[in-house]
This record gives sequence, structure tokens and C-alpha cells, in this order.
Amino acid sequence: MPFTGKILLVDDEAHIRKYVGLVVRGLGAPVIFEASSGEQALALYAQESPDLVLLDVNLPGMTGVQILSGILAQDPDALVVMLTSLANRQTIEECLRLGAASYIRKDTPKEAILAELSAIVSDSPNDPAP
Amino acid sequence: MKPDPDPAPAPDGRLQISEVRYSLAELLREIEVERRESSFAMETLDQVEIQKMFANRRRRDARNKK
Repeated sequence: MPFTGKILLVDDEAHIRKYVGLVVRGLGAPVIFEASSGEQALALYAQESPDLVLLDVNLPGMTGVQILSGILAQDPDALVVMLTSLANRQTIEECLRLGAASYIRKDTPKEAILAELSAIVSDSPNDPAP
Repeated sequence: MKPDPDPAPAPDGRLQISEVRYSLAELLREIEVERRESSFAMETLDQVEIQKMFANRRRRDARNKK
């Protein structure tokens, strides 16, 4: 089932947002919004209510973990997937505890990223796909 | 942790077993510090291990919703 919902990509590096954007198009035909900072991400989340958020951890200013908390404070049912090169146990456990839907290392092959995102989106009660 | 003092040898020369009591609260505090500050916290996990952690949580959540 193609995913036609809205996705918010949060990463401070434009080339990563572009790459991840290309990967997530493999889900179907999602509408993609991009943010390069925590403030932008929270504002876009409030404005667009995306169905899925792909969030980097290591950002200048607000960290991904703080942004995760901010999004879940706005919407406890938000589907937030951490997509990051930082993979230490402490950060992962914190994201898990806060309520991230998943945590994907950026060095994961794109087919595996896509498979994990497809599984998360199809498990979600918020899945906008008919 | 304050285990009892060293066991005194029994008259026949063998060591007597003495009771050692640990405080659960203290043990849990030590584990928490260990998880936060040691190399354990900084351990890098591979994607398979990460996915298992999240899948376990999803299973738990699904069970709780039933």
C-alpha cells in the first residue's frame, strides 16, 4: 500500500535531507517538508501535522532528543523516527523511553531504511493510506 | 555495600559461611550510574540490536492495549 501521507525531515545538512527525501519517496508519494533546526521542526509540526517525522539527533541548537520531546508534547501520538549517525546506547535508550517509534542509523542500507519505515507506517493507527 | 566482616575460621580450620546482605536500592543506584556514565552508556549498537529494542517496546505496547 503506497504511503501518501506527509513526512517531515529534520536534518541540518541539506544533502542528507535530499538523500533521505529520495529514500522515502520509495514509500509511495508522500508530501515532504524539510526543517534544518529544532525551532523550524516544531513550527512545521504544529502547522502541517505530518504523519511521520524523520529526525536527526545531532543538530546545532536544540538536539534531536529535545525536539522529540517537544513534538510528543504537542502530539503524544506523533510517529517520530530518529535517523542518525549517533548510535550510543544512552541516546537510543533515551529516545526509546521518550516514545520515538524507531531509531535508524544513517549507515543502514536504503532498502533496510525503507523496510523499517514501511513497517512503522503500516503498523501505525495514523496511517493515512486507504 | 557493606557485607559482613570477613568470616572467622571455624575451630576445625574451615571458613564459615556468613550472610551477606545487599541493599536493593543501593544496587539499583549503582546500576543507574553505570548505565549513565560508564562505557556501557557509550556502547555503539548495531541496527539489528536497535531494532530489537524498539520491536520489544512495540510488542509490549500492543499487549498493553489489548
